[in-house]
Amino acid sequence: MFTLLKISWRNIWRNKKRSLVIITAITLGLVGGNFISSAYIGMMNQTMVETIEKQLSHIQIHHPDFIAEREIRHDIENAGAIVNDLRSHPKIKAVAARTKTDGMVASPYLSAGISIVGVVAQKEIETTGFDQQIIKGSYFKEAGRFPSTVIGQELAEKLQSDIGSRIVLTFQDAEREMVSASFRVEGIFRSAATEYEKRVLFVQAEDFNALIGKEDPTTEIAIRLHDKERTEAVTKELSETYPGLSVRSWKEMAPELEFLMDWTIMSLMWIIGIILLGVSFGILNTILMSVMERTRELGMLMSVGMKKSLVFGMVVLETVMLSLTGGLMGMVLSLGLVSYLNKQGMDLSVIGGEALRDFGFSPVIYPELHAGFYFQVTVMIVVFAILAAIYPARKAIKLQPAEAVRKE
Amino acid sequence: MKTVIKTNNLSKVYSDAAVPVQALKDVNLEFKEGEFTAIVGPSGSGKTTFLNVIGGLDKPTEGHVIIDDVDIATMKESQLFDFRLKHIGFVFQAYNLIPVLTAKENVSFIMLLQKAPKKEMEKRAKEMLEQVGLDDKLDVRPGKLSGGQQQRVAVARALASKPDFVLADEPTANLDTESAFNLLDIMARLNREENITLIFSTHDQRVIDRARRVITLVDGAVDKDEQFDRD
Repeated sequence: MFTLLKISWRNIWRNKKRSLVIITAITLGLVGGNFISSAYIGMMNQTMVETIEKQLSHIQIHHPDFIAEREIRHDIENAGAIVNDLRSHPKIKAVAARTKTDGMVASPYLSAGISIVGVVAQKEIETTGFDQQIIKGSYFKEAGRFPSTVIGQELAEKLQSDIGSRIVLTFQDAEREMVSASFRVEGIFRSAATEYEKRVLFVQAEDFNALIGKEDPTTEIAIRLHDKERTEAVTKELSETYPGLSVRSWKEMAPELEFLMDWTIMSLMWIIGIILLGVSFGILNTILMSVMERTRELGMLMSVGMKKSLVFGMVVLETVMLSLTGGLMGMVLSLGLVSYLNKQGMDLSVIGGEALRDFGFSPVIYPELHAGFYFQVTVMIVVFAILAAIYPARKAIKLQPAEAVRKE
Repeated sequence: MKTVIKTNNLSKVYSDAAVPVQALKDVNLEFKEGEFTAIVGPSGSGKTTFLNVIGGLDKPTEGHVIIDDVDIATMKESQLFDFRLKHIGFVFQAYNLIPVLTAKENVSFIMLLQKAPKKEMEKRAKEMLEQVGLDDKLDVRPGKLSGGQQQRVAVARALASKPDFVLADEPTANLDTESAFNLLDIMARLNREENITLIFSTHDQRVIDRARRVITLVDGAVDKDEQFDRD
């Protein structure tokens, strides 16, 4: 086997130029494919992280009717006790109680429908790290004459409001009466998605609860786990613990996220597959030429008794080695490029990438590829190489030894 | 002396041509152990076909090729691969060495296919290259050897695995006189010393003059079968 490997390896380098051309083609094809893949996967992953970690958290608990009606009266009974229990759960990292309702926001220039979220700032920081998204002002640090609010950049622009501006929120209280109150803009946040910036607004729970007229009107409990991979197991456990409540994982709340990620990876695999298919015709041509040039030698091998299966294996081995040489070079270069871009980030805003935010994506992409992707691509290279080798290898074993040894 | 090869009524017709060609016609021959035989005859007389058929590279249309009490004419292709590997050594006109292997690796190659132990293989390869006067070229690839040297490596390769007989198809055709004589000296010596049966197809007079038996084929049939005392 070792000699066969040695012969195959040396055979690749008989015609250095020809082999280098195909190795370069494989390398560049893979770098291109991997680069595109890493950019898309990075983009999708950022969106997932943004949505799960900064907005939804891993698990949410609601009153079952709240999901459809989104009214304060569908709050979670004994929310305080439940939150305390959850905080002592070993798999749970942080818990935030939120009060959510839909209402209207108005500035002197415009009014708009809005989702109002009452939060306990410190708990929200622990659960979603939301304070990191503040680009102007602060996240509920200042005390003032008016209760404060944190709004999205898009909403701020729409309302023509800035830090210190006053806006009026109108919503239903616990008795379903309309309540209006004035809030001062303390902070402006930016998220990857413009839609989220437009439709969500944060206030402090104590201000909000006072206006609602209920001591603890928690409508949502957001849970962050130590390990995201445990989401399904903990969701199941909590559903059994709180049978009267709706306990949902991020996958149930935003099924499109996982689907988009799976779909993206599948599409990228197809793209890489098509690149490799194209390259494999080049590989086939290279190996076929190499076989045709070695007719006499192959005839000799079979004449002296080298079995056809071994000759077939030798041609396949050559093809796989040739392809893997290009493949490994492509992988190493891709790894370097992706690692570099992952650290630096690719700011697409200079070429109009801001528009990506309308679709929920950040204009700054941090390309990434996980080890499994590299492994899958390597397997694909080997499979395509074997497929490309079949025709030349068959051609080799179809030679008549007696005629082949005399071929001029 | 032991009979190494025996052919009975061997005939070969190439019927895929527009007009069927009778390449061998009722050839009945016996080759004894240690014989040095030249198969001669004009082009198209059937020399190469005869070597192909007794070497298991081609099948006869009729007749039998008995080697080691086995009729190889009835063997399947896969059996013939094994048979050639174990029993027959080949020397080709164009040397046909593996260019990416060194002289020593080329000589070891058939033993490697036979799955011989590594140490034994190395020892035998060195020994054979010494025998053909190339002990200083062990690690040289064929591209850096002259035609004569390459053919000597090919002879060492054919003999290294100790086959029952060696078939050499025009082995001196591409060699200059000095290289040809050198090669023939080596082959004659190995024939004597190792008692290896050598069968050449040739129209090179230099080979014919060394052979102790000369079989002349004309139109696929044995025209003459002569013995000579060369010692």
